[in-house]
Amino acid sequence: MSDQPLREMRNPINRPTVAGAFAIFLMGLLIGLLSPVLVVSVIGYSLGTLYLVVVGYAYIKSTPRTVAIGSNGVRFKYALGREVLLPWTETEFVVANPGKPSSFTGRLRRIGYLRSSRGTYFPVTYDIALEIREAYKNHCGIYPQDEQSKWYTTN
Amino acid sequence: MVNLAVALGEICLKFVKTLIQSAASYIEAAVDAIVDAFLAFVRWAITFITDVVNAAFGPVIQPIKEACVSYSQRVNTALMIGVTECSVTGGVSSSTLSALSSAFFGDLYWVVLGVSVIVSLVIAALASLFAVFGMLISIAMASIVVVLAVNAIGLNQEQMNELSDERGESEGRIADDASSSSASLVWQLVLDATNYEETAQEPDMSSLYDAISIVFGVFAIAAGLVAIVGYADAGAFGYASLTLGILACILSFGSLALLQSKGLALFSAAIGFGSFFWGFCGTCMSLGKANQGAAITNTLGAALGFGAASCSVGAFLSE
Repeated sequence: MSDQPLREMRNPINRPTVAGAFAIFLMGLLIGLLSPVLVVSVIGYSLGTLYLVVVGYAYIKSTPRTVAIGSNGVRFKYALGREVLLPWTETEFVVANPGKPSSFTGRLRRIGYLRSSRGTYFPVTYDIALEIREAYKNHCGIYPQDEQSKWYTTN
Repeated sequence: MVNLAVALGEICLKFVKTLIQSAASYIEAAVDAIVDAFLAFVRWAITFITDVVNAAFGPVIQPIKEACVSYSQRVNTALMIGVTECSVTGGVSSSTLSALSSAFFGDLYWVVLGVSVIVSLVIAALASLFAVFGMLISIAMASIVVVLAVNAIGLNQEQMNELSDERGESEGRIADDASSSSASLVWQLVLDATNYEETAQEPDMSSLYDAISIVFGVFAIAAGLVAIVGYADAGAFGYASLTLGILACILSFGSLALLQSKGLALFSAAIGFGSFFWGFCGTCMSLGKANQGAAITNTLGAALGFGAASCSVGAFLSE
């Protein structure tokens, strides 16, 4: 990336998922410790550990820790030092869904993400998605596509 | 000079030929050694895989084998009661028909149903998680099913003989001597039927586990409804959750009401594991779009399914 990123933003998302995975891991430990039946103990330990490991791996693999917007595209920094540059030309969607602030479930639906033309998703916070949409407009002249209409009609 | 050249050429050709022959023998010996080593490796691999499969699936195969034996015993007993009754009275009473129906829907039925559901759900869950390898996973699962079927369902003649020895009445003997329905045989059959009825009506100690399963089932229904209503992205998983939750609830209530809940507990465990894996998949999918609502719902569903499955397995294994 030849350009200098405007600024690097932290991307604190998907944390409830990891917390839930840890809770399920603890639940498995509890089941394993309290159950008098050996098979149930084994199930508790193994499934709890499996859940935490897989969800943790998916979190590390899919969730960028920081996001930097540049003139050529968006650079995502993941855990363990991995970096991915998504050029504007390969950006298919930039979704910033405000949800429904008047309700609890609606606030939980306040999400943001990008999708590349290769089909890879880059989850970001709603505010970061808004900034990326503005940056896209500044560089390309138009706002990026929003997957909202497709999202609501196909799911 | 020409003769000398020809002689030298012949000598050179003989030398080359000797070299090639000796090299060929060396190569042949080397190839033989490699082939031997390869065959030894294949033999070791086959032994290793067989041992691993036996170690991995032995605990699963043994209960199915026992269920097979129990199933055939009950069906055999019920059929013989029906035959005897028909030959004596000219008809079959409703209680005998009920016993026959119960025999057909015995433990094996639920075991096979539970295994089928678990395998289907695991395939669906793994295919969702690792779509690229879906076909390979399906092939692997199909192989596992074959291993289970061959080892568990396919009783051989020796096992049938063991079964006959245990019962003291083999199918062959009954077929050969069908007319000799002596009093002792009828009495033995009546005793078997009585024992079966007592076993069927025996209160199970797993009521606490069932009650916990009901609570988890109700919460699973609620989680499914929340998923459907609240979050479009979790819609498919919500529907699956709802279906599994309703089934779990019905089976748990049935298990409590009938107080013969081994098979039902196993089936409930299958449903619980299904809920767990659906929640598992939904959670991983929700990570890509940072959908917190779907993540929370699916995590809740996975936790409920986990708990319900653990309780059901505990109910199945408890005395």
